[in-house]
Parts: sequence; C-alpha cells; structure tokens
Amino acid sequence: MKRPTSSFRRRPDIAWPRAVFAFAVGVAFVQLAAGAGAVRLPSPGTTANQTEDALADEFTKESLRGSDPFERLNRAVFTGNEHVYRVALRPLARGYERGVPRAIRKGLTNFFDNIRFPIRFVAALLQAKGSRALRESGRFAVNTTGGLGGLIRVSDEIVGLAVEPIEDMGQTFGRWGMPSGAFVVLPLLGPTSLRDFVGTIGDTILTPTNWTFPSYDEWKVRLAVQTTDGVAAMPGLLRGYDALRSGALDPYLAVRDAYLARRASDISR
Amino acid sequence: MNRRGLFCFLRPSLRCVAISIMNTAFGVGASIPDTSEPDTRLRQAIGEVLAAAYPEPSATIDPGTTVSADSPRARRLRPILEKYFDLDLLTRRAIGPSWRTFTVNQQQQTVKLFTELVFRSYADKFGSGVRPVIAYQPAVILAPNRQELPLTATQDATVTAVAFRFELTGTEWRIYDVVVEGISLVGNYRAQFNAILLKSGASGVLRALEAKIADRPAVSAK
Repeated sequence: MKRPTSSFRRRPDIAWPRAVFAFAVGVAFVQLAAGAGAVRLPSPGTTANQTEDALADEFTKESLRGSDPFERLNRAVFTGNEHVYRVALRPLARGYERGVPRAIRKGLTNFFDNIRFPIRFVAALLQAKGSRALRESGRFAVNTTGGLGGLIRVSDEIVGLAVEPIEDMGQTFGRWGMPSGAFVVLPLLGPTSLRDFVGTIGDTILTPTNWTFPSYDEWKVRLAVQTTDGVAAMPGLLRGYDALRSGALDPYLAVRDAYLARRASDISR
Repeated sequence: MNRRGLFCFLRPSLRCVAISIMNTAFGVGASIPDTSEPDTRLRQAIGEVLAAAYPEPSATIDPGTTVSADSPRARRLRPILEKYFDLDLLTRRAIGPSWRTFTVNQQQQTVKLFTELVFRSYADKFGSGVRPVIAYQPAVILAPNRQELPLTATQDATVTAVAFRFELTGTEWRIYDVVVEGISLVGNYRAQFNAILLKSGASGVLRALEAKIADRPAVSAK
C-alpha cells in the first residue's frame, strides 16, 4: 500500500511565475496611481512670490510635494501598530537584547545582512552602478569565506570594501524616475509607499531565505529562519522609530515625513 | 574733471596709497565672510560635544541603555548646543512663512518652548555605545550665506550620514538645521507644524508644544 505523503512534506516552492507577474502588475499600478492619485498636501502661509520670502525655503517646496490620499486609514493603522509595538514587539526586543549576548546578536545581524546580497547586487546593476555591484560582490565573498558564512563582517577592515548605502528594488524604481505614489502604513510592517511596496515584492523574490533548497524546503525551517531574521532586526528598527517619535508633536506626520525624506535621500545616493 | 581723470592725474606711488586707503575705508575683501569658518566651528562643536558626552573615550555603554535627559552628561551638552546653534533661526524655519502671523510674544514663547522640546528629546540620545569616529566631508555651498557640512559618524561599525546646515547671521556662522540620513530636523517639524497651523494657528502651536514638554522629564540648565 502506498504510504500517504504528508501534506507538509512537499509544499509548493514559491510560485516564481506568479510572483514575477504580480511584481510586474504592481509596477504598472504604481505608475498609474502615482500619476492619478497624488494629493498635494496643504501648506499654510505660502506666498505668491516665494523667492522673496526668506522663510519660504526648500522645506516649503517639500511640504507641497507629498501624497497621502489614505491619511485617515493610515492613521488608524498607525495607531494599531503603536499598540502592537508597545504590547508585543518592544518587550520581545528588550528580552532579546537582555537574553542574547551582544556578540551573538551582532553575528546574527551580520549574517542576515550578508545573505541579502542578491538584493543589493541586482539593484546596483539595474541602476547601472557597476562599481558598487562589484564592491558588494567583494564584500559578500570576503565575509562569506573569511567571516564564517557572514557572521563576522571581515570587510569592515578592508579599505575599498567600506560600508555603502544599501540598495533595494524600491530605490531602483525611484532611480528610473518612478514617483513614490501614495504613502501607506501597513499593519505591523509600518510605513511604505506604493512604489516601495512593489519594490518589496522584488526584494522578497531576491531574498535567499525565501528560496527553497533540498535541505531547506521544510516550511517550519523557513519560518524559524525568517522569524530569527525579524527578531534580530527588531531592536535597531524600534530604537530608530522611538528616537523619531520621542520629540514628535504628531508622531504620524513625523514618521511620514521621515520615511519620505529618507527614501528620497537613499535614492539620490 | 571726472573721477577717472583725477585718479590718472595722481602719480603711481600715490595711486597705490590711494587704493590701499580706499580698500580699508570700504572694507573691500574684509567684508567677504570666511567660508572656512563653518568647518572650523563644526569641528570645535563636535569636539566639545564628544568630550562632554564621552568623557572616557574607551568606555562602552550598551545601546539598549537609556541615558537620562537629566543626567550630568545631558546637562553638560546644553550650553554647547546653545553656543553653536542659532535657536531663534531654527525655530523660525521650523514654523515657516506663518512665522509672520505670530505676535512678538508668541514668537518669543515659541522659540523658548521649541528649543526646550528639541533639547529634551535629543539630549539623551548622546553617550551610548562607544565614542563615534567622525569623518568630515567637503562643504556644500547652498547660498552665499548658507553652507551644508556633511560628515559620517561611525559607531559599532554602523555608519550614519549627518549634515549640519550653517547660516551667517551677522558676523557669526551658526547651525540652523541638522540632517540625519536625509531627515531634516527643521523639515520634519515643519511638516508637523503645518498641520497644527492649518487647524488652530499660532495658539495651537503653543498649546501643542506646552503639552509635549509636559510629557517629557525636566532638564535643568546646570
């Protein structure tokens, strides 16, 4: 009698054709939405002749350039996220920092950063940054072979392989001229834009922890690895988030402005 | 006889003397601001801040530890920040063109409250981890009286890009904005103040600042 196969043994691989199709549709959608749905944010006190107004500076122009047509929904999700961060994620991050030695935490961060090499490499190539792609390859090779699989960032000691701005697919689309589109706050994941959300799909396709290998096809193993990755990144992310909102009069607006400004800066670098 | 004629009438040696006197009288060359001064002031400021925040360069504080805003370290930082920052200009730029709608009293109160908020929010961010290594980069000229001085701060192998924006007010270059990883302090607060100003004007801004400061622990000047 043929032994029944477990429903968990042979879960389908990530559906490459469908993922790529979704990615392409997303790119087209962002292009349309960015053009059709942009809502100018109002700015008080703008004068007709801003060139003569000493206070109408680069910040005035930036505040007129935003797009937040889903603000009410975004604020609701933002508030929900704050509760989850306070109740679950911050205690988890604190417990992780206190319970796991610093050297191990650093090793895990280095490992997962190293393993995301394909994203940075492909994004650099698509932006025609050949020398940056080459340096990323060098860093990956050095850290993987000489740094115990990426646990130790040996490349920090090598002049010429210094840390550079991190590339991703969202930045690639920005370089290609795609506007950011509407600002969106996702449950748990936090702020993004339509363009960067589609970029994240591309990043997900390129992240090796989402691939399947003969010894890495169990969904439980993949889930454990991805959870470890998320927990390792959490303290740094929450610290940056808390630093931003600690002095904010309106945390939602502070986070929105910071996100958009940071992404614009990343794209230009 | 016109001026050019008179000038040509003088002997060459007297012409040199005349030129020197004119230069001194009209301050030609002397009134052009020294464009290297912001760089000097920034290095001085960074040096003083690091000395105050990291009195023992080899000491390491776990980044997970919070340094109190009322700690001796934070109190040492305040006079340094007041010395190098143009807090009045920083506040005016954060409010933006609507500054003109504030009364004089409201303007003074806003400067006082906003600088207190900024100090209480960011003073406790200094002093954790190892002392950062600073690498200065060439200045960017934004305007004849404005410059941006970028640098990188490396701490625990993490590199952070920071830029300080200077403006020449009177005869002194002072900082009016700090940009960290592309996020401008002034721009970020401008986005928040815009929303408050649209709803409730200058009095709304003052109320919001007072409420926020009431949430933060007090920091004494000494």
